Amino acid sequence: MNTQLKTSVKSNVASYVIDVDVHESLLSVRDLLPHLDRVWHPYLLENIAAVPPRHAYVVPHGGTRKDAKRSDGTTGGQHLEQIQEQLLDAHGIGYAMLTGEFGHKLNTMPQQQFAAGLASAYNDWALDTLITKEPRLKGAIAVAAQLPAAAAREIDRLGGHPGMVQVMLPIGSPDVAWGDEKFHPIWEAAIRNHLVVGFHVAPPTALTGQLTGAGWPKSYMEARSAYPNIFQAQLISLVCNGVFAKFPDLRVAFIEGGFAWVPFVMWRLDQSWNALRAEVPWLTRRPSEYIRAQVRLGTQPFEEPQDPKQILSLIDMMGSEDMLMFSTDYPHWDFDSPVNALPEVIKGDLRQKILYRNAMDFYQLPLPDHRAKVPF
Amino acid sequence: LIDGVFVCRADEIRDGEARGFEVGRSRVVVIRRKDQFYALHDVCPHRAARLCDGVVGGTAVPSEVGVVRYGRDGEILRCPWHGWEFDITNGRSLHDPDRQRVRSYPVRVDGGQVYISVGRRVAAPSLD
Repeated sequence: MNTQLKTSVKSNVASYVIDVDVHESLLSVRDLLPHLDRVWHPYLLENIAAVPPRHAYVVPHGGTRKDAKRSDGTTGGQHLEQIQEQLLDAHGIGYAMLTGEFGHKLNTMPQQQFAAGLASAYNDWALDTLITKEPRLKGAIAVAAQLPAAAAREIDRLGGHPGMVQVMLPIGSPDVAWGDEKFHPIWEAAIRNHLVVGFHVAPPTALTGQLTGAGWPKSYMEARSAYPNIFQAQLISLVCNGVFAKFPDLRVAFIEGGFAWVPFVMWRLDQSWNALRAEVPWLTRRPSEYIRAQVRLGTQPFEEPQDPKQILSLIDMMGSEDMLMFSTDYPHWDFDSPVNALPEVIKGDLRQKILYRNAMDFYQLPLPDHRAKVPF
Repeated sequence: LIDGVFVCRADEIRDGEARGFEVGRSRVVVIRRKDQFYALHDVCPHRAARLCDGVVGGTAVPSEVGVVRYGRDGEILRCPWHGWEFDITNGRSLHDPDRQRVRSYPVRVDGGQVYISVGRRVAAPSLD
């Protein structure tokens, strides 16, 4: 038994890979028109450059992998066949969770009914163009959380589609933190439709406010390094405001926000709870227990300590091997490959958990058909 | 023969008051709730603050999300330093009752005098 295990650790065997962060995007916002309610057509056409709202930051060397960019300026995420060839086939990815970009930005729009209309159109576009055409791609329902009731209706409209596995939101929330009671209808809708709620990093504009409590970072370098800051704040908000306590069936994925900070947040929450639990009397378990039970994290950008062995200590400090889910962030510039993003110290069972099993369990998916050659 | 060590007269501790005593080599905090007296080890298991400097009161009892409801008035001793809460009747903390707790000692009131048995430990009652 042990000998077999050792052999498999050393050899290059096939493993499943699930990628929980792939960015599809529209070729043109005009592609939404066939799916968009007629009432919103003039809104879109009058100032098409304003839709969706722009990110506040420019990536100086470009936001897309150079080998995913075409001579016409379009990128891999805009072409189904390029996602299939360059990502799914090339890396043997069994499932890829579409996380979008367009949908995140809708949550920053003050014109909330228009945003909700765009979200519906986008979802229908994604189903028609990608999800129904490629079973390896799993969809996320875009919603405008400014209108929680409308967001819940949209989740109910599409939640039964077998290609939809989650509801997608930006980590920056409109107006108030995600723990607020006004968002409860969204969590209820996700649960009754058996969907994960994904929160993806999104540089803020308008309604979602500042990226950190320290004002606007003045470089993309500064912004990118500070992204985990808002993930921490939102996770703390979800825990303290009792979202996990009230909705024990809610499953939350934090995507592209890092994961080295998770032990610290658990420790700090537990320490605070020891003294301050009377302020949040709806929490009946230690805060860290809710996090371990209901939260998972995408791995990209994989943490890169000088000593890769420290990753194992970090996972030990998280108190669970079940929380990390591999992600590539295709086609973005800081893409992680399933072959070499995980350090060699992550072996065997733990490696398989991170590469596919944690995501398979969390998203409640069957084993994929495809396998990749990845080192164990 | 009186069981335990005399610490004070009952009328020297007011309702809702916690008062510290040295009993032999032990530090003990005696808490009065109405006409009941309770005694706990007077050292917080967290950072060793003297619990007798803390506050006796109630707390927010378990409730649904978004509701904060006061209850257990007079049953909770809150540590003066980091605010850990202890059930005066058994010494168990509210946040981690199985692992974080202080010893609880038997108290006897006889003829208006309060006696404590520091040598004996009160069996921790079941949480059920």
